[in-house]
Amino acid sequence: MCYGFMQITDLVYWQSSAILADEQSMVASGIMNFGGSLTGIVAIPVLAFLLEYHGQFAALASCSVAALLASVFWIFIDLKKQIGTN
Amino acid sequence: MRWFPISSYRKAFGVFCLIIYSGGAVVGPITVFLISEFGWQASFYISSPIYLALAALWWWYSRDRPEENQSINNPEVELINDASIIEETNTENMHWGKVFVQKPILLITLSYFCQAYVTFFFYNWLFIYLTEEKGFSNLDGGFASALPWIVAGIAALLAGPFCDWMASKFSPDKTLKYICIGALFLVAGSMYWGAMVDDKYTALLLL
Repeated sequence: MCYGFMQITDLVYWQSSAILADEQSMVASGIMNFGGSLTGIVAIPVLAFLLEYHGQFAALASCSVAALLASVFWIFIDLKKQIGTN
Repeated sequence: MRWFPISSYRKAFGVFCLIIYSGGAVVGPITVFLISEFGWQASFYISSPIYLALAALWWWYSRDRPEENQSINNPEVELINDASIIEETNTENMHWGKVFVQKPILLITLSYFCQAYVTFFFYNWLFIYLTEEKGFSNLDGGFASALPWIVAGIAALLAGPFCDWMASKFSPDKTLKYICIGALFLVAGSMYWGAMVDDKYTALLLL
């Protein structure tokens, strides 16, 4: 279920970057994907640390926190306001 | 993104995701089988020519824009460039550095940074979690870890028409926003619940 819901968000992320950037949708999607890839620098060591010292529950709970944090940023995103417009 | 009318983008992306996650679902059990039967090197030897073939296919068929592809005719190009839910903007000549510092792009990148944290759990730890913590055997764990990919593919396929339907009922921009927020809450909830339960099958269902 969790990963299924993740894919629904994936669909929205990619379309939203295209909507926000219009002609620059490739650049915007690349920047967004760059951010997603950067997560690996943080996620893999943090998850490894949590698994080693605090157990599986802490690792999974940290994923819940990350998902909630991701939703907080969405509150401030207005898809009507494309970049390049005032 | 330039290959579909933006009004059909969600359906197209749903099908695109279904194919991707079907691959993800298949590759886990196959890799476990190859490693157990022929050693870990076999998984690399077999994957390499497949990727080379895909690169050749991409080089042969892919173009930046549909009108540059010989197999796409004019009515199809017109259809692709037709309906849009957005207004024309002056982004065509914007430098990528300027795109990078735009507030909406920064926000969506930060949000995706957090969302990808969950993805990395699935990519890197799900199999270990299922085998070491939940007691699945290696082979069962391989099949079990393929299940989220199957569900993900189905979810992606259904999400496209669902988003289109919601967008037709409500404002498209708000629809996308609230679907994403709602889905992220459900991700957080099902992940937390999955961490709480002891039964391995219930945990697998939730994850």
